This record gives sequence, C-alpha cells and structure tokens, in this order.
Amino acid sequence: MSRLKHHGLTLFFGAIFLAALVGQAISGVALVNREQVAAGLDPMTLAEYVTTSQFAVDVTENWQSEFLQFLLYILATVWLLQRGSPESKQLDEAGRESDEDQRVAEFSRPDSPPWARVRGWRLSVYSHSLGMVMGTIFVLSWFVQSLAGAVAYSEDQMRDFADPVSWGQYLGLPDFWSRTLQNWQSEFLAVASMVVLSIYLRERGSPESKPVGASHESTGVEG
Amino acid sequence: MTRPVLVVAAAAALLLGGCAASPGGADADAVVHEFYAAVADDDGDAACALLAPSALENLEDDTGEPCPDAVLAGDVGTTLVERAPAGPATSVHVAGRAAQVVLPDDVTFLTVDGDSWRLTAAGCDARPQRPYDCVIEGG
Repeated sequence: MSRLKHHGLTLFFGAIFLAALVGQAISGVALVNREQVAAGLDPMTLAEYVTTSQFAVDVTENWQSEFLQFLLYILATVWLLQRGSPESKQLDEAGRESDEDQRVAEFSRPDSPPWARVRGWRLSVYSHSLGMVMGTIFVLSWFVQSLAGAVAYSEDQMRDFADPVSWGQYLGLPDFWSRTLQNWQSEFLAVASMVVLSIYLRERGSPESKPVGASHESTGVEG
Repeated sequence: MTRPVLVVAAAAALLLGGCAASPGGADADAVVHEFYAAVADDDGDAACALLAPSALENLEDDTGEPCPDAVLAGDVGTTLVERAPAGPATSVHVAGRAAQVVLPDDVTFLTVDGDSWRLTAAGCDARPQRPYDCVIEGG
C-alpha cells in the first residue's frame, strides 16, 4: 500500500493520460467515420484509425509543445527570476550555482547518483540530462508531427481534388505552422500564468504553491 | 533515455510505411487504367463499378442518366475517351486513404473503399490556387 502512496502522483497522471489518449482515439474515429459514411464509404475501425497519419499528427502536435514547454521552463528557471513566485529560484541564486550547492564531485554525498560523484564527461552529461531528454523528445515529436502532418495534409488535399505536397513543401505551409504555434501559445501562457498567479494565490498543501501565510514578496519557497 | 526515442522512431516508421492494411500506389494505378479500358470498350457497368459511391451519385444527378450510360455519353464520355492513357502513369501519390494518379493527359483522384481503390474524380483540369475541375467528381 505504501508503494502506491509513494508513487501516486505518477500513477495518477499516467492513468489519466492513457484514459485521455483512448478518449481522443474514440472521438477521433467517430469524427472520421461521420465523413466516411457521408461519402458512402465503409467506416474505419479503431485499430485502423490509430495507425493513420491524422491520429499521429493530432497526438504529436500536442506532445511536442508540452515537451518544449518543459524544456524552456527547465532552462529559463536556471537564469531568469520572478520575485514573489514559488516557480522561481531565490533572487540571489541565478545561474548554474556552485558545486557545493549542487552536491557534485567532492561535495557529493553517499546517496548521490553515481554520475554526480566524479568529475568528467559523465558529470557533464548528467548535469544536463533533464534538459537533454526533454529537448530530444520535443525534437523527435515535432519531427513526427511534420511527417504525419505532411501525409494527413496531402490526404486532405487529394480528397478535395488538389495536389499533394512533399515533406519539404509542408514545412513552409500554414497548416504546419498553425498547428505548431496554436499549441505553443497555450503552453507559454500556462507557464506565465502559473509563475504570476502563484505570487498572489495559494493552494494549501501543494508544493506548487507558497505556504498560505507566506508573503507575496517571498520567492522560491514552496508550501 | 532510449525507450521514448524507440517509441517515437517506431511511430515514424509506421507512418512512413503507410500501414500494411491499405492498398498501395500500384493498385491505384491499376484501377485507373482498368477504368479507362472499360470506357474504351464501351463497358459502362465495369467503369461505374470502379467509381466511388459519391462520384457515381453525382454523375447520375448531374446527367439525369444511369451511370453506365452517363459515363460513356456527352461531355463526360468524350473527355474520358480523349484522355485515355496510351502508356503508364506519369506519377502516383498515395497518402492515407487518398491517392492521385497523374496520366499523360489526365489527372485522377481515388479513395479507399473497403480494401480497394475507387475513383472519386476523373477528367480533371488544373486551376491556379484552386482544386482541379473534373468532369466526374465525388464528395
């Protein structure tokens, strides 16, 4: 039981992610099949739909923006500050910080991760591993969005008796940038909102909030 | 770190591979040539069997005639006979369940119906920055 309790956050979000993905697939195939039936064609099965480029572009356009959001948030909070926000470091802590604060190499502890304990390429890689992985997933999912988007766009074009496009042509088309930027704007707004709202508002018990009684000026503290 | 990379790469491969269940470009090309061969043989029934349901319905609505007659007569019949391909297609594009087969003298569009291709448009002329204008059009 304590294992469930200690991993509840991951389990909860993993479960609702899967539920939402399944829901997206079910509503997506229903939408496609309305068009199929209207055209007098056979409806698609759910299994067929989840292997279409349409489903892939709808999934990956959202994934890439989420991972970009986290990448930028992780990197920006290294150097940029916001007075009063628990999302920010304290005002004198901008930058990569000292080895002692970061508990690396000679300042590491017995329970420090192995790659944090000795200077060298492993420490350098591990020191940036979070940003690197977020950035890699962002780049790969944006790439898949572009590939799937080119195929889905070409399919729509040919349904409407227009010419298909190559991947290269698609990268310059409004469809690609509209999908990309409509996702980016919401991600950046969400982070900005969280940074600012958490200066003045509270949620008791959440580490994303300051303590309820903390002043609006206190920065980099969590509840 | 490698697992998310493999998942995304597998997804990309699946999309690029076009997913085995759908018929391929060669099949679309074959259907188009079969259609024009049926028109050349005055076999309206065989030609209509290769049209998508919406293309067939629109042809009958526009001409006021049953498809086997409509596809061989009037502007439609004349255009299709004039543009009958003497050789192989110039290009074939497939994306998902739609295809475009470009012939030396014509452009056609197809959709997957069941597990085979059916023509949604034939006898098509390009228009700048607009969809093709076709003598047979579904949708």
